[in-house]
Amino acid sequence: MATHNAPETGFSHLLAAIYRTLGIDFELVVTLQQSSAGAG
Amino acid sequence: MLLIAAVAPAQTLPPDLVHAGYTWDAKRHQRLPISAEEAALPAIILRDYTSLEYYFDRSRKDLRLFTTEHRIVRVNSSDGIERFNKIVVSVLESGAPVAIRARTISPRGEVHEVQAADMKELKDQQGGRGFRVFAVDGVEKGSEVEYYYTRERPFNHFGSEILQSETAVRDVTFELISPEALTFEARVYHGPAVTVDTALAGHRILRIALKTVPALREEAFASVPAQRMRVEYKLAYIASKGPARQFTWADASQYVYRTMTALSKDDVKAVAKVLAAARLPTAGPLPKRIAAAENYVKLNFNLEEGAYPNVQ
Repeated sequence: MATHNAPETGFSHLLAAIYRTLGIDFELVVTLQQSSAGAG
Repeated sequence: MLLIAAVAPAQTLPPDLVHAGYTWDAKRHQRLPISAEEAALPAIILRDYTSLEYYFDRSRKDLRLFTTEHRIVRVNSSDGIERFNKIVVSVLESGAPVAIRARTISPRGEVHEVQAADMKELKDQQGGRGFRVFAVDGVEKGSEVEYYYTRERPFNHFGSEILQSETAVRDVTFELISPEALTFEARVYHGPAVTVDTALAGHRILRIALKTVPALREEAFASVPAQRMRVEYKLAYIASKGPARQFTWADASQYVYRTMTALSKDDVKAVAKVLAAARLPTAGPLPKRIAAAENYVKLNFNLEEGAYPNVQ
């Protein structure tokens, strides 16, 4: 169930912040998304 | 200059603005001639003059942006009267300066200037700030409504001005005046290019002047705003910074990167709170961890354009 509201930039900002906090390289996220989009 | 002392804090515009002394043709008592075709329209705008001036304020040591706008509208029907018997002026939230004069010329050649005291300020429906609405009384079929004003606008290094509306226009002029140290560039969409005028000492002027701009009607399944004639402008070069181009797409992408990736103290706290609630897997294959984070955000946050973009 969705509990908060955020604009599109808020989504990107929050996700970028979460990945950074978890120590996940954001460029890796983008690469993975691109390769899965290509595979799909 | 007639100042709206009753509704705006007493103030004066900088006296050395290029259009500080802007005025209308005070001797004119007859309406401007129109054709039979134009008389059949609800309204026609006979002059549409917009001048933006980037002004260096020596006392504040800062750039300010002023605009002078002058319109003459012939209203031919009650629909036309309804549309043009109000003057809407955007103002700065600080209760900024508006120097406005308005008059009507009746079909019998009676000139009636709306006095400052009679210029009612209407409250907008949302009761919000941001603009003022002045009513012009005594407008009848066949009248001309004429007004001009100078106001300060929120400062920006770039912007756009729409030159076309659902009302046909004659005698359209748009100009952008800047100190000669600032080079602005402009591109006109759906219209001819601007010309550059450096004849006025110390200034650089971009200008577009058109005899007519036709009305653009709403049409089903058409994106009318995208089809409107408009001029987009930006500050391209600053003399003191040499040949480096300003406000490029590279600058924009760096700005977006910074705002997307920089985290303030409050952001760090907010993210810690989200992560504590999300209980995302801390081990396992990276693609799964990435997908888990994305799924959590997508399932727990609604997309709402008007919402506050910070993560807190």
